[in-house]
Amino acid sequence: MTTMTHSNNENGELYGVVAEFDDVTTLCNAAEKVRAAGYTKWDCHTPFPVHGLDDLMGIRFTKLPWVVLIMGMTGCGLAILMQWWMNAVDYPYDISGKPRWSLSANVPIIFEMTVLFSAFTAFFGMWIANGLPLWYNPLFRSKRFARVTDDKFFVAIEATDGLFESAKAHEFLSSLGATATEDVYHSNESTKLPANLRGKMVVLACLATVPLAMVYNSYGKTTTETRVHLAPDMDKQDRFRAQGQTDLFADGRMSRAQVEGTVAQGDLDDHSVNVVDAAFMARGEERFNIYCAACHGFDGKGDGTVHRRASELSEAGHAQWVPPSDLTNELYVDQDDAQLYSTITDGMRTMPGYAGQIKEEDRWAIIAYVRALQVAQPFGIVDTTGMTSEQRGEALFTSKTCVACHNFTSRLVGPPLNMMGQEVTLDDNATKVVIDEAYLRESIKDPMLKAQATFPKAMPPLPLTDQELTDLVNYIKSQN
Amino acid sequence: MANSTSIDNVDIFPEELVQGNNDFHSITETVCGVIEAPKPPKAWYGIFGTALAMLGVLGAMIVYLVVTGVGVWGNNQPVAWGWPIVNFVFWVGIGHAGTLISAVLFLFRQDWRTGINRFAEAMTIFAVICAGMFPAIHVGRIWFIWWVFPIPNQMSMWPNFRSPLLWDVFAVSTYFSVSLLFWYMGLVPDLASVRDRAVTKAKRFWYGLFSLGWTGSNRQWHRYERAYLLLAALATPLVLSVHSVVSFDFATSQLAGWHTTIFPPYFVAGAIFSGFAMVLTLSIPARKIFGLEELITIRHIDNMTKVIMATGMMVGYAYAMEFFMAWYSGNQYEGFTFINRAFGPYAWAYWIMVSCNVLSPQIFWFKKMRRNLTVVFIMSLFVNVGMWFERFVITVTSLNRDFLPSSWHYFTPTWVDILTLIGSFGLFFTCFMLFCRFLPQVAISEVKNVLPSAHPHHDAH
Repeated sequence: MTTMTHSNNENGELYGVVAEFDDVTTLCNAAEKVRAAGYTKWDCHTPFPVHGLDDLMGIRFTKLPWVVLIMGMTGCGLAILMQWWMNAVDYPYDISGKPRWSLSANVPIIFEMTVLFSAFTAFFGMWIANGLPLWYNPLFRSKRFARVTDDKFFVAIEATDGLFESAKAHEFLSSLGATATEDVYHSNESTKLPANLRGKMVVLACLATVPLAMVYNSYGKTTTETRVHLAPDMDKQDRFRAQGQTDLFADGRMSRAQVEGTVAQGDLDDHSVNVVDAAFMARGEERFNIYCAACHGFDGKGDGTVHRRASELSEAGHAQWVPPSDLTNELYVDQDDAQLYSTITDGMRTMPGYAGQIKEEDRWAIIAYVRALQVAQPFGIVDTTGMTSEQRGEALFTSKTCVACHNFTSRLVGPPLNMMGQEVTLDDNATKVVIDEAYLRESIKDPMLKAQATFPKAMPPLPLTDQELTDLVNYIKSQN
Repeated sequence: MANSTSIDNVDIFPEELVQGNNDFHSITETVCGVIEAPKPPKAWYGIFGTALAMLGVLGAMIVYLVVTGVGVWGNNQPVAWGWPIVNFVFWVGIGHAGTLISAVLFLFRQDWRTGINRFAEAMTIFAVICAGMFPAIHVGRIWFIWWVFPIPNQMSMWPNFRSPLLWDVFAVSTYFSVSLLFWYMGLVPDLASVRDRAVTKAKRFWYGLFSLGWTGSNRQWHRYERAYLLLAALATPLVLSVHSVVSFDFATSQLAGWHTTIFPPYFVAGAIFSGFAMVLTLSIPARKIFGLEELITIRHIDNMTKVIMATGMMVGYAYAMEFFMAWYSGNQYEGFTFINRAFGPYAWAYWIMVSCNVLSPQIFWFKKMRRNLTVVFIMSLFVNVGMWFERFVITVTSLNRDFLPSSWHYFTPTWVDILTLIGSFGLFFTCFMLFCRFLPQVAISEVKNVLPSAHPHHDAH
């Protein structure tokens, strides 16, 4: 048994006494006695956790598991809140009409966050409770103590313990079977950071805030500068643009004219020339009933099921609806076949083009069938006997197809007609005109003379007698 | 305490966990000796040099990929998930053994884990790094990878938390963080051992820095052990969840061959299977090269081969059950996929998988084979190969003949695919060789704890 003191002349204050033991059993016996002697600031140091030593030393069970439990529950709650707020509130995802918030699909991340929070708390909580990291420890100044991580066992009693007296401690620990005891001193070096290092750290800390400040400064702002392309593969691709330049052809153009005599597929035959027989008409009727009747009605009077339903919705204020035309109207009786063909192919107003659905020869067959409908239901025979001027005007409003583009409530293709007395801007965007009877008369006769701004210049002049014009204007006035 | 092979322990342990005449000091000597040797063994240079070269290849492949685009891989319709996802699942699977050995076997009080847990944990960390790399570079524009995290951004968008791919991000990153903490926590007392024996100033500084001022205080050991137990209890469900979540990537899709409920347990069993195989592949040469035979003993290897056999048969059961369900469900697409899997264009891959994973481990029914290091090493390589093919079979055979026969396509990898996979082994072995050279390969304090002399009154003086 030896008693040894550091011969280190840098020794500062006395930290305490350490005693070395050779085996676990002696250490455990010693721990029991040290505790019984009433010391409070002391500890055992071992190369591995010695089972049973905790009880012998009277170590109170750590509260760490409770902290971990609370933090685990926090992680769980945060995960629920985060997913709910991000996916159901702030940026709702609508995926196949599934509910915006359904807990089961969020379980995996709730689980992961719970484990993550618990594990970090267990790990960092343990080090914090242990007062680590602490790279300065007076015990490291003892050479003998270095074997604590190898094969020796130590008991250390601190000088700050109320019962501590160096000589008594040496004697006591030796009597417990210590193979050596030793005084351990603090170092007398300052534990403060060198002043110049502190200054540098302050400068570094200030510099570290610069990128953060730049990020904060640009947050939520727009810029006109081109963005940086780290790898331009997605944004800039090697290809020839339709109207671009190329070295491939002598004239340097990318767009090539079609070779002379090119005919599109199926364009070799002229389908506009047809033998109109029973089979052709039957084909036209069939196609008409499939593609046209839904809006225009089976009789072509513009009263199909889609129109009826849409009108109901429109009247209830749920939709805007441009009514389909009455194909038996004299306007369409007068149109030539080519114009009807063009309408079927490319559409008109809200009607889409049917070039994709109806083959060319079928479009001509439909036109033949429409002509038959027009003959079968001659237009314009309205018995006006006993009617007032307004009633005759209403009949004209329908028969002259004003109704296709105008109503008395809202903007359709043309302006609403309930604006008598109001001032409107003409399409030169400057002239203001008050709508009165004179303006109406003038505009029905020659619509483009004083067309209103923001509306398409689409209305054709209507050939009306003076009486008809008066009837129509009276009807419009009666609706205001 | 000098001789640990006392007759009293025969009843408790069939064989000593630590062999030879080892005491506390000799264990420290053996493990720290590897780090303190002025030069590593010759084999280390060979393996490290090769690994470093492969790592260089990986770096080149990644740079080529990033500046060119994902088109340099073989991925295309209909096999949009090619080798990157195969490699990802392969590496994540390997990364399962570490935490399983550290956490699950710890909770079950399997003391034999102490010899191999450090090894296996290190392997886990490096395998998960390799795994995480693949989806990260697979996104194509890797500088946008931060979009997977819920970070406020100028688009005012949040990630979709109901996507299995996002679950993957959380599962793998949580697993990596927790495994890293677990590993580092176990390392701290052993780093202190190296610190206290260090002779050079640099070593004293670096090992001192990372051992955090550990003094082996019993008041600290008390909290340390509690925290270790808590981490083990947390890591146990975590290790089971990670591969379950990885399997959701497949199982929640509507594709025949993927859309099955058996996937989570099947994937977890496969992960443990492949992980243990990799631990064997690494530890059999390492114990020889670094002279750790007395700490990583034949008994450890024997135990691990038993785990491999058990999980191998679970995987085999899953293969069979998939076929049964394909027939029993009466779903023609499911039936087609599985017939196609076993007898279609990728039949060769399927049968490699079955022979390596189901048939070859059966050799471990024989004790002689379990204890023949050459046989075990070769078998562990078979399992590694077989498990890579399992992921290949699952991914590619389900995709290459999808619902639209006109888009059927035979997937072939490009040279970039192949070199990236080889390169990922370079990354893994570079990390692993550095670990072998600079960190304690065996958990010193834990191995000391399984010596009979670690417990008071053992010899009843």
